[in-house]
Amino acid sequence: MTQATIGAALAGGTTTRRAPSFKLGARSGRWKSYWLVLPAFALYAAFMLWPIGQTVWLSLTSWNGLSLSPTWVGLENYQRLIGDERFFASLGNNLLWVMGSWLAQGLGLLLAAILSASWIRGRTFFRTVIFIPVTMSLVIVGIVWDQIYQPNTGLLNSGLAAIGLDPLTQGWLAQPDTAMSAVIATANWTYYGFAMVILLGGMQNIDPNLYEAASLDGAGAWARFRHITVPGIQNQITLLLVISFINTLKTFDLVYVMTNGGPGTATEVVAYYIYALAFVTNQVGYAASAAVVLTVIILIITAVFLRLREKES
Amino acid sequence: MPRLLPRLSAHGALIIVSLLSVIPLGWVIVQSLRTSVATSQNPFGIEWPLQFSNYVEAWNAGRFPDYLLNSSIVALGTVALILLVGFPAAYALAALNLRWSNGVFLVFLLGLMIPIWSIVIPLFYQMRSLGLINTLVGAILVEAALGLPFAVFLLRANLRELPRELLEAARIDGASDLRTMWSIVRPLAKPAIQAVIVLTFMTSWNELIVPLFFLQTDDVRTLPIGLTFFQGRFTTDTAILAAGTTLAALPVLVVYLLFNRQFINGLTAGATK
Repeated sequence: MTQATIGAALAGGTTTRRAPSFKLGARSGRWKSYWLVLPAFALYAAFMLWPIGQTVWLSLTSWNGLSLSPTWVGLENYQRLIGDERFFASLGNNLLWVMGSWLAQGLGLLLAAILSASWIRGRTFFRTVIFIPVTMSLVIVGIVWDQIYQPNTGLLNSGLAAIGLDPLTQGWLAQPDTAMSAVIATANWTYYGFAMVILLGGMQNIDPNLYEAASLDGAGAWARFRHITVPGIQNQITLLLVISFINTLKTFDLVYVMTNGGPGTATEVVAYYIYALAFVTNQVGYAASAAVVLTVIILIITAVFLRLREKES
Repeated sequence: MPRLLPRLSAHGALIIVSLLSVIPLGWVIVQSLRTSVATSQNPFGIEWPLQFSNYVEAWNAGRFPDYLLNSSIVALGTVALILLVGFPAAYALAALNLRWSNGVFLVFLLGLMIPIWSIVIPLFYQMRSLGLINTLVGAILVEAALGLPFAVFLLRANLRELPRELLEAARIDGASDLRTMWSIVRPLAKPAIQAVIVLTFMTSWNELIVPLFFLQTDDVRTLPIGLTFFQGRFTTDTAILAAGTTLAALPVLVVYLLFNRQFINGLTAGATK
């Protein structure tokens, strides 16, 4: 559900009608009522801002997490990171994950288009059922799909065998060339319902008269979809693309539950690599530098996205 | 209305995707009612009598009562803390014409982009020296801080739409900021507050990374992290693992089916403005 909350928040913020420009607020405003903001800010500062600063500092040190104090090494960690093939391989897996998620978003678009048709029966029922996977903890999702992928007892291989596709049966999570796709497919299972709900929300806001006018002009279903629906949900589409990008770069849970990054490092993503560096091999300073780079990448992508949004509107 | 064939295929597609969405979970529920021997012989079957004893075994072996209680405390505590500090903050930033309010808001906004990985390493050592590791309070504090940006964001976006005249009128009548917030703003913001409650609760309930680092002893583990240990112990005993997984999935499923309107509205409210 993190993707959901971030989605809702980004959605609310970037489409708020009155706040296209971020000026620093009324200059003539008051200080007095700041005590209402103070508790929230204190909590946020203590558990978010301060640790971020600490991470940046740690990234300039060498530390095993046990010795009394970290040793200052300057930019050494970052130099090492540039030459670290395992880091770039994990980043590559994240990018593969991003592209994989586009499939789920395409399916979400199709589902939303179907559900927004006036003649669909049981709209609420379908929407509710299709959204179920989004609400599940990724630990549960990971365990369920791990069972499905089991070579001898799993649903997938048994299903393939039952319809005569025995040659396709294999140890999906045990082989380097199928493991990553299998994990991404699992992630996609939790994505399409989310995309559907966001896009459907956008479609329901399109003026129905537009469709009627187009129909009178002789536009077919495809033409109406292409020229009315898609432009009408442009905001939601851009939004989904950036949310999936951000969340996919942070992804950790499924890899932790299903493969531990294996076989070998075949399914390692950046977050898992950071975790392994910091808490398995105790290279705390180096892990911090990878975390800083990940954060910078996310901030850059968000900034580019916000810039594009501004240009569009 | 289109012809029969397009209508049939559209409904057919919805049925197929609906099945895809429920079969994995449904299959695990069926597995949880069989013996592990039977599941390993034939993944599709179902035998009588149903093995409800799997649930008893999973319940006792997995400390599920503890996990459920811990998950509830952490999720409710996180929701309560976020509303307690986040609602006044969102109200002040949205309606009280504060100096630098947009600047402060932007700092909160940054929290939406920050991955937990850029805070968790020093926080781990910080919490350990504060004695907050392996305490539910510690997990609540971290999860509240992580969820706060979203709550402030959604609430502020909604509170900005309140009519200014209303707040002005309250002030002229001599109501304090706090009084106005409680008696006038809070009832009007009810849908937004509900959305924050539902989404924050779910996020916390499903959270894996925070308990992975900050709740490392069995007496304080929450459901997701407890379940990963359960998975490790019962890798070969698939029926018991399936029963444990079902036990963990059911509360979420029930809450979602009861409150699915709040879920969907909470998401789309923001995205369609």
